[in-house]
Amino acid sequence: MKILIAGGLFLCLAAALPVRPGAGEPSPPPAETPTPAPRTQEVRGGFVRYIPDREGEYEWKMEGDSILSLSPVSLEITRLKATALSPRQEGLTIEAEKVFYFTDTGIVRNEESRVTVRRENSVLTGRGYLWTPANRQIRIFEDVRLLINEEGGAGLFPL
Amino acid sequence: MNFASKGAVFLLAAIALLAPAAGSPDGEEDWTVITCDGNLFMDYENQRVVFFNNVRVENPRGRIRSDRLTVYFSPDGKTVEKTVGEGNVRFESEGRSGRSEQIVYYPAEKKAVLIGQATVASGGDSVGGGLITFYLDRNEMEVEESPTLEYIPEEEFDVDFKVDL
Repeated sequence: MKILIAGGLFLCLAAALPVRPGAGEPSPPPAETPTPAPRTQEVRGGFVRYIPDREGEYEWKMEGDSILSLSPVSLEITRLKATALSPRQEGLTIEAEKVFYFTDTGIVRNEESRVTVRRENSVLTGRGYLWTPANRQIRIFEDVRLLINEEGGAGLFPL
Repeated sequence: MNFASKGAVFLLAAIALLAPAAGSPDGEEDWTVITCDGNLFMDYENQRVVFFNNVRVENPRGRIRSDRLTVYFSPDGKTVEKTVGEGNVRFESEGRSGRSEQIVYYPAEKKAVLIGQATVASGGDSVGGGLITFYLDRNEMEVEESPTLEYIPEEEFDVDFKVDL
């Protein structure tokens, strides 16, 4: 199973999303059509989702305080914290107040919210970002600031 | 004094331009801040970070400015292998200042390379050329490609010029 869902919150969310009939299945008559689920449904209380890489190994653990379904393929997540699970990205975390997560592409973005990326001895902050886990790329749009703690005055830059 | 010889290499040993400042950074000074006016692009697949538009690097020992800066990390992402500043590079550090079109720094080797119309000045002394290579741990530098030198030696420094014409 590629995706683990803590607390069954995603299952509840998925159950609320409209289900399309399969190919060849007749559509139910209009009179029997159930009332469609609302376009948005909010789930509070936190969630955890594991994101696999191209090889199927878990690469990211995503946690958030609440999740709001905006469409069948887009979610709004508040207080996101993503933790890298891959040894190549050991210690890498991404935190943001609010993100839009597109489940079909895996893209995470917000053009206004602040983001903090931590790794080993560095903290990167900025406002507005586009994260494409499939390409392993993050772009931060504004107010970029990277603070590096150079252990022992290693001389990261020729100063 | 003014030297201008294409292809010449000057090796200047322990001159004032490279004299280390008194005192070394302690634990409280081991920070560096990088800011920019444009985007930041982080490619954690290839372990590199690119800063765009008026990039400033600052720490207690000095500052560097360039149009673009790329930081290349080791495969495990824990150490910096190389930094490359490109476009209108300016730096100030411990009484020295300089400029070039590009600067490449290799932390493991403590080597910095200034490329393209490079100059380094300290007080009234300056050296210039198409390529200046600093060896920071050895307090040496090489100047290549049309080097120029304006230097007033002081008594306490031993100056060694090696010129290959």
